[in-house]
Amino acid sequence: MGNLTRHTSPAFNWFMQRITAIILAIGLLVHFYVLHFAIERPITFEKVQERLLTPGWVLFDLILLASAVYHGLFGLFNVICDYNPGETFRKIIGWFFFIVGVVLLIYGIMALLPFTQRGGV
Amino acid sequence: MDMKKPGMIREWYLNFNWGMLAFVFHRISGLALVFYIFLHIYSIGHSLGGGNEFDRMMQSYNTPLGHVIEYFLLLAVLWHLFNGLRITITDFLRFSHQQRRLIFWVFIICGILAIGSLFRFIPALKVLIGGI
Repeated sequence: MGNLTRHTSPAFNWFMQRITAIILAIGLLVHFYVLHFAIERPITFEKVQERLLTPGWVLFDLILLASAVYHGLFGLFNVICDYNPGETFRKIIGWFFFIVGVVLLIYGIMALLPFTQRGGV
Repeated sequence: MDMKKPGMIREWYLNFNWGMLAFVFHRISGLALVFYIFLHIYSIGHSLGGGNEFDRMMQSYNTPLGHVIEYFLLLAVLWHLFNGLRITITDFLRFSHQQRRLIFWVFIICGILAIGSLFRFIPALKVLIGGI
């Protein structure tokens, strides 16, 4: 029988998955409202910028971005763990997703910046 | 004794019930949504090429097919969101005894919001119905 003890408890991941779920539940309802009901199609740079010139909305989008990237990648990690991969594979995938998450987060923040300044970048 | 578990997909129909249906929808929508995060950040990233580049990217999704795909995105988000709330409520508020009943509320809330958003997301349907 393999070693059943783990150095890190999955309880923290479970808890963070629930916390980000609550943030995303509220945030995505607002996100869908502001982008699909409050404005008319097509979505344009100008329409998005109008909202993102307010710092509060930038903070809202940043929190949504971070929560979505964390929740999505950890969710995918949990799906893979459901198939009982070996400890080594689990570690490699975990670190791989961590790096992918950091890259997504950085690129996402960069993508938001042009909207936050008048005239764009 | 054969300890081999049935494959996850086989388990879906070997042990089928409302809870399993909720789980299957949650998993499929979850996988679709994590794929969408990549597409979404990639698309929004066109802002780095300037406002016109961003508008061109957004306009490319503004087609009847794009609207239908966006509507399926909404369906995935709605299910994952409200079923996720059911799971969170069950975990945090000790709702294990009532969680099964909550599945039907998830269906009802998602159904109402999905039907209510239909014409908003796929305006072509209005023309279709108006044409009859």
